[in-house]
Amino acid sequence: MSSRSGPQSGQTALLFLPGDSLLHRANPLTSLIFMLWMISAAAVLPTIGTTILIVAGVALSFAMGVGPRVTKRLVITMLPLLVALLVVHGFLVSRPDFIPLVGPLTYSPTGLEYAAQVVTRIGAMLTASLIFVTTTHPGDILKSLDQRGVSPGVSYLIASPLLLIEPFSERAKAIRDAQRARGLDLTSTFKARFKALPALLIPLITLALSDLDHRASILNSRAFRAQKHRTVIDAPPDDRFQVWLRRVLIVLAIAQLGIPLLWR
Amino acid sequence: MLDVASVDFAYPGGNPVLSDIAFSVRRGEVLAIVGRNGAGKSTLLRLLNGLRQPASGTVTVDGLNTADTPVHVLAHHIGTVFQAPEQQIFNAKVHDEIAFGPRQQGLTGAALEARIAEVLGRIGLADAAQLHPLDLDAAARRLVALGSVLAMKPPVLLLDEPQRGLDANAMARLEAIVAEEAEAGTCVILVCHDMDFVARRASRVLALAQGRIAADLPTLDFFTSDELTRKAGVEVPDPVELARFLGLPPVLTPSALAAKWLADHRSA
Repeated sequence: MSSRSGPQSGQTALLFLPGDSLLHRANPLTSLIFMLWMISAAAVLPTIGTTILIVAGVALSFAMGVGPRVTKRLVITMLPLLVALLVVHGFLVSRPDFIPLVGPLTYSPTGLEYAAQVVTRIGAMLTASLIFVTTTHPGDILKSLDQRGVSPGVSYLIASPLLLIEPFSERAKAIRDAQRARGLDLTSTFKARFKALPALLIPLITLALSDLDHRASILNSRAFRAQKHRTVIDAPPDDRFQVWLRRVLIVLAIAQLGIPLLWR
Repeated sequence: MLDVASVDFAYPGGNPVLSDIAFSVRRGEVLAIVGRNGAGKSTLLRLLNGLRQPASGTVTVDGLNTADTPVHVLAHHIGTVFQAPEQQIFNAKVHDEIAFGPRQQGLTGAALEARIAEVLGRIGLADAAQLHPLDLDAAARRLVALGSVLAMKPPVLLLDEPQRGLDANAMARLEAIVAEEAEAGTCVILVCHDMDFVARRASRVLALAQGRIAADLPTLDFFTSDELTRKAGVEVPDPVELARFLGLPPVLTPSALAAKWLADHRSA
């Protein structure tokens, strides 16, 4: 099993946290399939099941040493969604079971139930994704996919969004700093901030587009697709137990998704 | 004009980046901040324009404490040209890009147009006013970035690696602008790796080594000290080396070297 524990390695991807936990040492494909299994479970479980999945996922993240980061991201992402869905489905969407709450305010228990189901389902899927990206370095995913004979183009397609998060985020900060240093006020009213958006977004998008071209040229000049498969010198270690674990998780994921379809 | 008093800085959870930094810069002075990569030059620049706050100590710009003044307000007193001009360009015309800063200051109408025309003339892009900045070459884009800051007429000008990516013409224009700004009383601070440029334009050198001030001297005194240039990890400009080799008094520029050599030969 491999692990990235050096401080430098953590600087190349925004969400990855170096560590030596079981998931850090696991082969990236095992972590990837574990994530897919959790997502497939979240897709079919009832609300109570997805809630348990979230709690278990968060507990697992703490056991793996990435708990604070996973929890923070989960809360930041899910809280606005939770509020929006509860308000829309519980109070606004017209349903036959509306019950008076306070004064003219009415709510729908089935609407709230539906909102909870959607939120916990998305929350469980997000928890699984966060555990994966905080414990698995994108570079290791690339190596692992290359080792398995996946074509370089497909590997790059899977891993590049994760590899790009950090430079993209750094650039966004640099653009914000550059515009603030030219007198752009990002601290006042919502209207002023909204008006400031073009000054922040246009350079970010322009640079991202020019980066795409640049990256494509670099990859081509390095004969990225010259060989159908790439040889990996320092592939992440794998073992028979993990191979079998992955097979079991794949079968479980398929069964989880398939059985409810067959039963309906 | 700019005063840095006993400043320490560290990024959250990191080791100290800057320790016990103290210096002042007067009106009309051109200060070059030099040092190896990682010496803390760019961090110091961000402390000066208020993008970072010191852990201890104070930075005062034009009478304003950076800790108490929002960055967008400080920007009227201290203009910064960053290393990558693409990070700030967003308007579809060079004219509008130059106008961005003065507009933030509330300048409008004829006064704004006069300011833009003046700056376009200074950066040599009067004919390119209606072009898209990203259609210009890299050197011209850098000049647009410089122009957009000059248009705000800040009393303190920070230039982060201003010579990077400039061709000979653009470099000559940059040097002329630095000289004009200093002449007009602007306090110019350069963060720079090009020691020939520093030798030609800076009146004083602040050398950083491992987050501390290794030297704060007039340019000639700095470059004639082997110990200090070695400590700061910078190359000594060719005219200084050549003057030493020829046994002439120290000089900073090729023209000064030629003058000394001629004077020496005539007297001989």
